[in-house]
Amino acid sequence: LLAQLLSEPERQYIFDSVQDAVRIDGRQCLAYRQAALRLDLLCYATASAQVSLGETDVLVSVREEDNPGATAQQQGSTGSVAVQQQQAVSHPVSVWVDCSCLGSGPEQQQLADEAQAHLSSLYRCLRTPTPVFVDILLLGYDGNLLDAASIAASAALMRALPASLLSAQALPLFATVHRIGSQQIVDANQLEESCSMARVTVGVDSNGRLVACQTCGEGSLQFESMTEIIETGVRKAMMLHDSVAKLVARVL
Amino acid sequence: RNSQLPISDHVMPLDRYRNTALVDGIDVRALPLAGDCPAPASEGKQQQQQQQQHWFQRRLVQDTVGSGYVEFGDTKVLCSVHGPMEPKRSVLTDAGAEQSRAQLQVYYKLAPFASHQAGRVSYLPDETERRAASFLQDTLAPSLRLDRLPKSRIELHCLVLEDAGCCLATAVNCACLALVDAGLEMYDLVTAATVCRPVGATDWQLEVGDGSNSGGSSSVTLAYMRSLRQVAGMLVEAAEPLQPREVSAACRICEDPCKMTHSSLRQFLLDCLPADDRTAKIA
Repeated sequence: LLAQLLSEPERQYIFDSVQDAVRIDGRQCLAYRQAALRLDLLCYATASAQVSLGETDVLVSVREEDNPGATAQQQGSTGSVAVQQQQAVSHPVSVWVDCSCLGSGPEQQQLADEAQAHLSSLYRCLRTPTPVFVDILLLGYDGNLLDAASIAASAALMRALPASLLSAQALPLFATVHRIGSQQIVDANQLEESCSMARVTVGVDSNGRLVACQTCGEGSLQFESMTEIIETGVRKAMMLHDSVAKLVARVL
Repeated sequence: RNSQLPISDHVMPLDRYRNTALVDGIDVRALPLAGDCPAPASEGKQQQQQQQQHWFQRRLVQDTVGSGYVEFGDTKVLCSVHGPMEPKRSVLTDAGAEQSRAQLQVYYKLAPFASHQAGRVSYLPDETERRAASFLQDTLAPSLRLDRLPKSRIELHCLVLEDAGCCLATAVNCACLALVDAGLEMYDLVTAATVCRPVGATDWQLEVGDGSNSGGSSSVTLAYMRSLRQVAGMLVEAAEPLQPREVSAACRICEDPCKMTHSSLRQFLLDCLPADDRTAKIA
């Protein structure tokens, strides 16, 4: 996590250029980096996806665990009542994030913990009949882990889960909006993340409704700024939904 | 000045549910809330008012720099502050990264007997507790003057003794009280409130510590700094998809309870000052 070694003049340079709506890699303030999506890489997973957003590279594997042994036992003993109980059991999606490719220090562990908490809350409304495990492996990091991981995890879950469960809707995606001075930026890279004081992460489903929302970072916001940032996040997330749908359609 | 009062010469507490031993403790229910809240009209309303008021206490834990204890209804949270102490060394600090601000480290734990719904809680912090710890850290850091304590670390340990709802917001209030008790400089008191809404309902209600909110409702927790008029932290846990304007409306509803808690906490802290200190300040 090299960005914490930034000197004060470098930090000031990034801050000042963002105020003039120029980012250090030349992007617009509300523009995402080039994203690439690959599906079905792993043969032993139910579904898998890899997303790279600039240098941030995330590999997600989704496994559905079913217990054929338990089902047979229950059906043998009490017949139809047991089958009803089996169908009534619903499991939340279990998320695990691994940042060990970045190193094994406390900062990397904190990054993994935060990402795990956010992504679990993103899929809180999703219940599956069999336990589903989503394992997220971070292969490279240059900022914006949550957006990249949510794109990969949602794409993989859409491949893995039956269509009846998803009810013809795309799974939610994260959009993280940082506030640097008076400007809002999305898809911050590592250097910009270390300059931002406050950020809001919104998880939005394909109808534009929020399923998760949290402010992070050691800065505070006015009410009006927070509302504006949430609106920007929802707009960008809807744009992401469109782009991901196009990418997935092209791959399949 | 010496801010550590001797606490060895107190009488044994008679009330089992409240630690009334410390002379600094004041029953906030006996004080009128500073200007924001009208007097309750009837008995039922009085009880509801009591449920919505906070009980503050400080200096409960002996060997710490500062500590605070807050009860909100049945929810009880205890916070203790340690530090400033040696910073945690890591690859980055060894490489010469600037340590111009203190590191704030928050540990948050539910006691094994604390949860009403989940039964016994494990000894190791689970995902919810780690998330609450990072939320507390992000919420208190904007208000603390960490730049006044370079090259050091402050540890905040937060223990929830009973979780009957509104646990995270009460933890924020308690952590703020503990940090003030520790004498750390802050820009403003950070107070928090939670509103919740069951699935399918339309109105947001203030969540109080009476165990009435079981899982299956959406909640919005807002941490607010009243004098600065800024939001220090916001956390939405949605049980169903929410419209963005509903979330903004919920945040606005949280503002008033945060202000009320700010008033009562501030009043409690002012009344804790010994009388001679107060006159010294005026003179």
